Amino acid sequence: MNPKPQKKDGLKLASIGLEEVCLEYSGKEVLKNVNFSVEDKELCALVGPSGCGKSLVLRIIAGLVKPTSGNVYIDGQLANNVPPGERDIAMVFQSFALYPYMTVRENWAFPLRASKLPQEQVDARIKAMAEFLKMDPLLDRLPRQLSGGQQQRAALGRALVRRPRLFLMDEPLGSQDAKKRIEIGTGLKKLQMDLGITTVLVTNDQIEAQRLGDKVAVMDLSTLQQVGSPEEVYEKPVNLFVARFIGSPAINLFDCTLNREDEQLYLSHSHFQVPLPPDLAASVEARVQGDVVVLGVRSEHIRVTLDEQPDSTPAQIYVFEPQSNEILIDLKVGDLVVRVREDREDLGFQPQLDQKAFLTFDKEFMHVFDKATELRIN
Amino acid sequence: MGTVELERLTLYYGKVLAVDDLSLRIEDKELCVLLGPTGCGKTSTLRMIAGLETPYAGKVFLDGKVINSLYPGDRDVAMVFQDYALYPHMTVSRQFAFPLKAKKISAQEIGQRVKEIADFLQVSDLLDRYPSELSAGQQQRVAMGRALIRKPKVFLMDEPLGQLDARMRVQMRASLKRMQRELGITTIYVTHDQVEAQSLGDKIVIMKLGVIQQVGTPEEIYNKPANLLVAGFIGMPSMNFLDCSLHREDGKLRLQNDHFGFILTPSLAQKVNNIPLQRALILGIRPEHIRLSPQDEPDAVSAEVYVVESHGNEYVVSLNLSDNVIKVRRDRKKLGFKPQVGQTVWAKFLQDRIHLFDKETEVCLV
Repeated sequence: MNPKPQKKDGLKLASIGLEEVCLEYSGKEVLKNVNFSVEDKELCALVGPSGCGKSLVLRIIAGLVKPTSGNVYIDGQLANNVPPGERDIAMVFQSFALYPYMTVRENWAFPLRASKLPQEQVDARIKAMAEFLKMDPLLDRLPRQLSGGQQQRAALGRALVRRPRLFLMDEPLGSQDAKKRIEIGTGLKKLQMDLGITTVLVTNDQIEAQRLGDKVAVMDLSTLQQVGSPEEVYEKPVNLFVARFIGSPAINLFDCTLNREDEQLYLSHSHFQVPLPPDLAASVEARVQGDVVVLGVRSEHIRVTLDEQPDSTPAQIYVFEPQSNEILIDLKVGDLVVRVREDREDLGFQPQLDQKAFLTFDKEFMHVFDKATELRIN
Repeated sequence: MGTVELERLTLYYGKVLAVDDLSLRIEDKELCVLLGPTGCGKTSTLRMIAGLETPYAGKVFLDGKVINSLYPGDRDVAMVFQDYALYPHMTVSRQFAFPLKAKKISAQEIGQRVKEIADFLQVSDLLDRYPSELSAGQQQRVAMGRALIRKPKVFLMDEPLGQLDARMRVQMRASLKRMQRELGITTIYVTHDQVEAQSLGDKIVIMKLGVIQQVGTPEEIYNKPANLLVAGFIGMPSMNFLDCSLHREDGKLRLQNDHFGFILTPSLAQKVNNIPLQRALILGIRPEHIRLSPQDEPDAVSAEVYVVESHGNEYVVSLNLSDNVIKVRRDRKKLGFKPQVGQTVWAKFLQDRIHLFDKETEVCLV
């Protein structure tokens, strides 16, 4: 796995390249035309709901599963027939897979001894890893003497201590409580950056994917939906699935029809009408294929006021939840519930249950999707 | 009515003091959250209100009457536990009916109330199912229904959303809050999750080692924490803390330590009037109250970018300020630039949001 890539092909210059990878089990397509690459030193977060195929993609990269068709490149070389043991990959599974009869220290030392590292370096690395994972007092315990969360950290340590070429992780932080998840996640990212190990992290937590990934690959129903930076998948989701999946609170979606009135294009909903600003109107008109669209507006792009505003919609406060410097407000527009997030100070009033208010959408941040194809139009 | 008053409650588990001379008043219809880390005494307090624990000292009042000597079943309080504790051999409708049967209510009235509760909690089409045939969210609603059907004066909840996954928890929080408002039943809710506490509570009671640290609305707890514990507990990412002290230089007041210093604005200078110079202080500033610039700015502190994390529309930037790591949280567009790892940036603390704590006592001075 050593030679430098020869061809000037994007996929082949990358650390990991998947080209038209398909996987079939008993006639059922479980992966469809997966194309993506992970650059050298990059942390790619592979995210999607349960059953979307992300773990399978990881296993194909690891060499544990062979694709039915398509190519896997590692460091520019075709790797389809390279056994897992020769790919210089370390993998951390959900189920930890620690050697049950070895202490944590021995679990960590084992792969290092196999690579014939001198004892003092083995000790140094184990010490550093124990510090990083806050496992100093646990080094001499057996896996069964550890909690689920501790076992997971032990598994992470065992993989990282080898300083592999590629690092694959399948939901490595699942067993941790929220606070630890964030702490260890950030520490993991920092370690990955410092060590420069190309990493693919599988998670079903889209918040985690955005936080840790240099690149986020979103999957659903055996297909790759979008690959991009965390900023891209959040600000420009390519379809309804990505728009719904990424972002918390979830994006507000409204079925609308397109209406033209006096040179102005409107999005008409049963409870409101929104005029489209010229550039948005232009891109919508150019690409829409019917006249039913889905309008997407994120919770932070809606203003709540007590007084009517231009183009505002009447609504009623259903419930509100303070959150640090913000307030999350659910408002009812007819039988629709709209979720809005406002900075407490920008809001300017103390919300009351059932209070009447007005909603205004920030037109600069509206997302428009074609209802039939579910693809982004603007 | 459902006012609850706790007067000097004390509880020991063997030699361990779990609740220490605790006094608290919960108003009628209030949703009061008891918040704190494991072992702070919140569940013990709840259990004393329920009658599941007998206080070593102190009294529990319900609507002005002492209820210490009443059995749990006679207190007119209902409790929902974290693991729901549903009767495994009963269908949902029987779960609901069971608490009423003991009260000798007519079968017709029982049927009526079961229907009402089922409609309210949206479990009407699950009435013939057994707990094993329900999802976690559904089980949780059934547990609540079973408690609610008795129309108790007080509703006690011990981490009821603990078993649900993150997504479900977020959804259930809003409906729980709405439901409590609609029912108007005084509710005391225990959690270790500060996000949940802020979402739900009309009033939050933060506890540590059996002692109340602060009582306030979510806004008060966030804006005016009483001490270091409360300040660091509420908010995510949590408040940044830096050791420093007050100095006077050229007639101007400064806050500084070995690695940074800045001049106080007049309004902050006024607030620190009573603080002796050189006294060891801890400066607290929330991640959302720090402004970053790629260029040097007056009274800004230079720091190195350690990690940049994307969070929806925000960046959370971790900075190395000598030996401290501080976190900054800002909307991407408002920030205006993408910090790079290793880059030197300048951080300015919003002075009207600075908190100062006495290092020794940990009390909030400003």
